[in-house]
Amino acid sequence: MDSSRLKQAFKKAFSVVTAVFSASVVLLAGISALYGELIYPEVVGRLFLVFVMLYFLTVVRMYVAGTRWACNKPYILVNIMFAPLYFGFAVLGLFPGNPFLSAKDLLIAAPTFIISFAIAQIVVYVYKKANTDRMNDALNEFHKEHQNDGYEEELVDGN
Amino acid sequence: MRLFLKEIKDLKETEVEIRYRERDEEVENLISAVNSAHDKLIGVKDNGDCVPVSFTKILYFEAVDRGVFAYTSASVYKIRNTLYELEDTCSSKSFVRISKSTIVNLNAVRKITPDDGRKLRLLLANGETVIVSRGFVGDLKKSLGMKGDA
Repeated sequence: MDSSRLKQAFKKAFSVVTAVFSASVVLLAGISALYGELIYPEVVGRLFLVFVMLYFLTVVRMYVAGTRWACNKPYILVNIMFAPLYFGFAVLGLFPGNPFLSAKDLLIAAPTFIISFAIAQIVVYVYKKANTDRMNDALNEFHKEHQNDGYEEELVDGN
Repeated sequence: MRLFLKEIKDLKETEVEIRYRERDEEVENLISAVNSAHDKLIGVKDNGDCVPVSFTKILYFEAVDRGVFAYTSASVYKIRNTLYELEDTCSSKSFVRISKSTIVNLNAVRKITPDDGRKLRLLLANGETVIVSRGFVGDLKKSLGMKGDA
């Protein structure tokens, strides 16, 4: 295990998750003000616990995304792989004991979320890939123009 | 082959003139020797040895904890220059800055692929991957002769 990459994942995940947590608290407060409903402390506590779980999941995702295996695959693969886990963690935190959400809702929400998330990721990736394909063409041209001062692989003895 | 050396105090920069009847292998070797003498910087190995490192063998430079390192396919060298100095020196040598801490050799890039957000991934000749930050995508495109900022 690469400790420096893990440390970096902990740091980066913290900033991401705290930003999303703050945004969700503001959103919750906005909804509460709009509908005139009180926010019970247990709701905020539950939300906090969900984000604690999501923090550790984000650390793992960021660590996995930095592995050589993941770097050689389209970045959306890791996102799609982790989407059901994110959904599962969110459900674990929000569904139990919630009178407004039932198992039936879950059966509809889970596939809807995962499929729409995957489709959105693929569409965005295809669009971005078209851009990088053009860049790869430009890179090939660049290599042709700079053949004389091209990259030379260094041998193990440093020569 | 005859070799003439002449000291001229007024010269601002050392000049090399090669006179030849035919541009054969010997002349090509001379050209590459002169070029390689110019295209090197001093790198410090782990054991403290100072060695000349050719720019053409460097995959990328990275600033880590106040130090600047040059990565080749076989070794890592500590460099005494700052990243800003290297950016100035290397801009004419196919190197481009891709993030606050990294300068990459475009000749060592094998493939460009998308990454999360507006970032890009560069697959290097040794199989390693480096990330292009959003703010530097435009510079990379410009270096590749493309128009546009993003």
